[in-house]
Amino acid sequence: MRELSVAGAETLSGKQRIDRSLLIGICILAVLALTPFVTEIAGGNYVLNLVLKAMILAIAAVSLDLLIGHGGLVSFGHAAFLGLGSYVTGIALTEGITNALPVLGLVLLICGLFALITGAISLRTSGVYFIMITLAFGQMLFFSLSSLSSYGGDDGLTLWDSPVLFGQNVFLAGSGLFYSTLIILALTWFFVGRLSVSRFGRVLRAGKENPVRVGTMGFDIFHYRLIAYVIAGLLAGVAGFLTACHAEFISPSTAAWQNSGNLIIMVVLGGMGTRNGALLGAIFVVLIEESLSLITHEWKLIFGPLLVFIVLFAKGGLVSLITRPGGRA
Amino acid sequence: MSTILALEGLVKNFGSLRVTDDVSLELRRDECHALIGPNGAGKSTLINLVSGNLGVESGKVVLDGADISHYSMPQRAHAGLGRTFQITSIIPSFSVLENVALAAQAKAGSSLHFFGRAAEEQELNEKARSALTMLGLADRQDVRSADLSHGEHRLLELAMAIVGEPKALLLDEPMAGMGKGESETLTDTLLTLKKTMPMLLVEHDMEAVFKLADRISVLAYGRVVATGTPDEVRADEQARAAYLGSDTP
Repeated sequence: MRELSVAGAETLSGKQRIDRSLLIGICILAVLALTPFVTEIAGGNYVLNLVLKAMILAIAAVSLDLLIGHGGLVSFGHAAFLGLGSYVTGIALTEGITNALPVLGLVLLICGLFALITGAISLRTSGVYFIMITLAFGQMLFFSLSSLSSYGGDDGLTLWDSPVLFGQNVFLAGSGLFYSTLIILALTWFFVGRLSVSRFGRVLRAGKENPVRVGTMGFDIFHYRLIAYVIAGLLAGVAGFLTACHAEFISPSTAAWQNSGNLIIMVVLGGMGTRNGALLGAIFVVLIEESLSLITHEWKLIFGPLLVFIVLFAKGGLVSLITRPGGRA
Repeated sequence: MSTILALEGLVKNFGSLRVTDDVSLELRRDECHALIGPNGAGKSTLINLVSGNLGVESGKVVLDGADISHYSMPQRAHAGLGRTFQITSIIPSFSVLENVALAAQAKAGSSLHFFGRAAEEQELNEKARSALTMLGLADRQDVRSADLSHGEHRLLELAMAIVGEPKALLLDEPMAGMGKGESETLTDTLLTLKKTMPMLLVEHDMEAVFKLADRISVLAYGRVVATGTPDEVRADEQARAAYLGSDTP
């Protein structure tokens, strides 16, 4: 009986920890939701646009954390899905498809296929080779997009329309797009959080630590990783769709490897494999880049050492600074 | 037919070295079949060939009448093979309970569930708990498994293998590194277990082997040089020469 009650108490504390990180995440999203009111009082779209940009990247970062944090798969080509998503959106709009549903459908279809094919090949490798092969696929896509001469080539393409959902301009840059993005971000954050503790997520996380043992148990880890890769690609593709709507412009540079690196920085800085790490990391990186670049043109000189400092002294990422030291959030 | 697992003419080379040389043996439904032999005789390799961690050059592995030679490692697990590793192989950051529950999950329907919390699936947890109870590890279920002692790691390793109720259990030195008391307790547990689970046992602890085994095969240079009851093996010249030496228990 005593043993039972002790076990019960520990499960409860585990659950409390989950609830706590859930609460922190909801707080972050609530603060984001209030931004338009604050910026309206302050009278500037500048900050609103900045936060919107951060939220879009946060969707991509949260999806990347599914691979890096939960799956142990360091993909260095995740921006390819951002680029692909934005190009599918841009091309569809240019060709006269303005209904958001078919546009999003196309984005999901094409990003899903790209993820399925590149994932099936990349996941045959592991470690450094996986990093290199995902980088290679990312660059392949980048150069393919650059060579689309009828859609702007290197220069990119300005979009004159935005997708319409049931007659509503919810994806038109401004507060409509802001709230659509917030909703998609919240859903992504919630979905990935639940996914990581589901049966599927448990296999994925176990495979990160000991793939051989997971195989001997009877799980073919390749399939689980491929599914995770496709899910992450789909979510990042949606972020690409939002990128196109926000910028009203598509450019191959969205798919560039620097952008993939940036997403990795967000995930690592925020805290890998945690509920709120990638979310926090994305917001932090975008805001700090912007504020530093206001101070000085050579802002990277400050940003670099800052990264080193955080990685060295906040193991577990920014999220470990909010929660108690050593705790997972 | 009382054979649950049959190895037929298994051959494996590492480069030019033949580590498994035409090995045939069978495991009956109600027995513990021990594999003994000097270091480097190819005992662990043989276990790896059966479990699918290594591929064979030629020969067949037949489980419960079905040829599983071309099955992958996960497929063999599904077909009913369970195994433990000589060097503890667990998920270090998972709790003890979650390690075993994950192993139970492999046999409990599809794992393509993306929403429900796996840790709250009581059916899996119950199965895991009963395996842990059997091995005397139940009161450690909430400990992070990396923090267990060596002896406890060995027990966890075993719990993960038996929770799926395999048709045949491959044990690769379950007592490795255990103290005398610990290995005696484990021997008793395995004695109970073997009534329901046939086991192929690789072990250096001769006391445990002679207590557990119904039959023993002696492996030397990748070949089976003798198979028989413990008494027969004790009396066999070749077996003594290969391994047992003069101070046979």
